[in-house]
Amino acid sequence: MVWLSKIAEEFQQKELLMHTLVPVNGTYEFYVIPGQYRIEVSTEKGCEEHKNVFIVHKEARIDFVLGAKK
Amino acid sequence: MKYIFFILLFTQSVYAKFVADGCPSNAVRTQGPQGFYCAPLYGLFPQPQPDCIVCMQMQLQRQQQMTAFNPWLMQMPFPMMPPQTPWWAQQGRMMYPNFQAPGAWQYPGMNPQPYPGNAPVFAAKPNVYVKNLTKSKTSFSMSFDLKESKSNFLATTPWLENNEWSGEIQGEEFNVDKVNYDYLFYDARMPHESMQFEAGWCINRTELVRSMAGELIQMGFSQLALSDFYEHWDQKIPDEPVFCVYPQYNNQMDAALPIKIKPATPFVRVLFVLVPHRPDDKVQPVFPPLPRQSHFELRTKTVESDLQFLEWGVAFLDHRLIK
Repeated sequence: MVWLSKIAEEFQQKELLMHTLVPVNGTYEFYVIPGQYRIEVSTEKGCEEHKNVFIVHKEARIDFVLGAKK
Repeated sequence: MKYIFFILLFTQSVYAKFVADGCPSNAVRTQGPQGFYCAPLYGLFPQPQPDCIVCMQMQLQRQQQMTAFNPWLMQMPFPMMPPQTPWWAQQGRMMYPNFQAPGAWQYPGMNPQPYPGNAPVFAAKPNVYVKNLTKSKTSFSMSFDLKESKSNFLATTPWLENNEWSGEIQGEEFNVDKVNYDYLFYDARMPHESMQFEAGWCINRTELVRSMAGELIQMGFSQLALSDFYEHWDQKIPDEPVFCVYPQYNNQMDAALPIKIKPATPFVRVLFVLVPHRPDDKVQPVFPPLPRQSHFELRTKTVESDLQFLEWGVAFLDHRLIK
């Protein structure tokens, strides 16, 4: 599962914006307004990885690869 | 006796015509064991009468009936049975306080502030499935025409190349860039001008997902599509007492977000726009109005075809649009 949320320190401030199941080696594309975001990837077996993304410009494309690991 | 029979028959045929033509202004369309019917407004939005003890007891009974589990839906065949909580729901609840909402939520709709775009209909997870009766392998492309459209994407899986997915259909899966997908997925904001808000039904939260899944069964969706629908939306619709459902079919969806498939393939689309209601809301909302018309005639006509694409989705409105 890929989770996109706003970055927040406190649990109550965390806001999940979108999430979807992506198959292994699959691709996922999302569109956001400038801001600070956290992308997390998790699996049923508890493997996970996350990345903080800072979007400054209105139109920018950022490509990256995330691989969930235990 | 024959005269009594005649009167009963006449009354029933008048009532059936009444339902087909639409409900009166003091009623709303809803669904029960015998199908769709017109229910008095107080049945869905009970108003307490504190100076009448008997009335309050009846009120409590109606509220309990509204929220109680309705066994008639359990008689429907698989996959109408409630699924177990999926693993990602258990994770999501621990990670995010708003997990049980479709996104940034501000009752009675979406909070548009965190999302790009301006259109007020937040289509969450339209999923596109393929039915391939011959199971043969064939190439395909599916492209979105955004030139004249006011829609914009929020997310897609897999990612798009020039607003298009292309690859192969293998069995009943899509293969894009050498990865197999059970379905193609997107989130988008769409305009509401081409959508309809007269036909549909209102129902309590407990029965909501099953009532929409019943519509998918009527439209010929596969068991996988039904299971996915149930598994996701059982978790992701906010816990409000009543929802009104405004189904959008091909006529509405093709105007909001046109899609071209090659080779030309029958494509069945449905998007359920949901609006929640609480007992202390306005009994007669301004927009969208309570649904009083039947949605049957709006359904896309199904065609016999060895290959067919089918899309389901659920949408919520920008909360500022709801009055």
